[in-house]
Amino acid sequence: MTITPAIYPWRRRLVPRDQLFRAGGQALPGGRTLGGFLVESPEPGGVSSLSLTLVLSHDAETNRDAAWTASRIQNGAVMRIPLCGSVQLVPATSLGVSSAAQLPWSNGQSWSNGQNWDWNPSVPVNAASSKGAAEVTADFSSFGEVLEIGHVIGFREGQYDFAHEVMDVTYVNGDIATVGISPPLRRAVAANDDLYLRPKTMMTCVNAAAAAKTLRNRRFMVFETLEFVEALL
Amino acid sequence: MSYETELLAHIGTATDAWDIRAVDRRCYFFDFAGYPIRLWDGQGAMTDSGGNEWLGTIDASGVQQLRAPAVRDSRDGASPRYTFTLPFIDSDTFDALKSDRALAEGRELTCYRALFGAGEGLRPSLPLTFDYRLLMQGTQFAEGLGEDAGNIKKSYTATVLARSLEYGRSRAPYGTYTPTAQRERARLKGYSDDTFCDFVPGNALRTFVVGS
Repeated sequence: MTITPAIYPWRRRLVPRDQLFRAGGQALPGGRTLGGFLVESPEPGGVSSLSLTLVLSHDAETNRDAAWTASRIQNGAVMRIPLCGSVQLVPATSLGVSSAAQLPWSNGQSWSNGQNWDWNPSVPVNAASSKGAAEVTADFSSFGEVLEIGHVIGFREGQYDFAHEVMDVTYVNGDIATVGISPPLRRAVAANDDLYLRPKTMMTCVNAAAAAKTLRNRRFMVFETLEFVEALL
Repeated sequence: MSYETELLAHIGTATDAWDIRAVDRRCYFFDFAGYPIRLWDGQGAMTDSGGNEWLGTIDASGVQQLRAPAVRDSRDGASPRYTFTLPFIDSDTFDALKSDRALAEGRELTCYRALFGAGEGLRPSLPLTFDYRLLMQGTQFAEGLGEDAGNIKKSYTATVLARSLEYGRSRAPYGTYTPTAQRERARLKGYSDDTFCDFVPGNALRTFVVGS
């Protein structure tokens, strides 16, 4: 039986000041060598984690969202968190903004000037990869060789979003990229699936009770740094 | 490629543990009737070379949810009791195991080892290597509410009792260890002959000194 948990959207008004997506995972303590080194057994594949520090916001709507979030992230709830623009994402200047990549509003309409409001650039996967694999290939011919080590990419399979850190990338045959990723694929990807360059990730907060402090002066929600760990779905 | 040659290939000429890029983890196969459960010491779903999927038992906080005892060498003929505590898998499996103890009794619990090389993700290419096998004796269940860091959590635990394959050796034998009795047992099983016990009469009234 597959367990299908509720996934809650991250409130868009809550923009982090600091954000780091990590892909290392944990390690099991193994033993000591004769030289006294502690040997650890790293997690095969690894598990991603995310730390967020939110800005102190100044308007009522944002603070209300923040207060809601303080409750929502408790009890192991799964949050769908978009990674905000940072050096961990392929910069927009490398990608250009083509109208094909832009997204309309939810009713399918654009702004009155014909421009859409958001974009989610993606490239097609070149060949299928199995669940658990640590390597994918993608066709970057539409953008060129823009993906580099340290960038974060993502996939969407069904209702689930997955983010992966690029640990290694090589380009062959033009702009076909072979990308070593961590953590490994949580779902199989097929050829021509989208590899997103503005990924979202599904995370569970591990310090919710401790990090959500208080509504200071009953107006400003105060958080410590929120630590999230990948929800393995 | 065998486990040994694969491991040696990963170790290579490394002279320090830091230089080794391979991870070995245990995998547990609980062969409950109708509800086989595959668990491994890690996070996420691991797929072995045969296409079976194994569920990781280490949670997001790094806590191992499966409690497995250290299994000792059984060559001395002893058969100690081992208690494995399973985490909550899903409600269907849990309810089935809870309602039917016969799903576990006499079934096998097999431990394998998985060797993950660098870049293999959660799909180790080497087939799982056999480690040990136990006989499950039965299951016990508990569920309750507990407090954890300000949250109330409901916890389910299934405990599996297991013994090594030496279990039952001390029982009264249902046959006599003689060539005649062995041939008769073979005949009853449908075999024409069985000479397995032919050496027994020759060993009567002799003294063997072992290890001198």
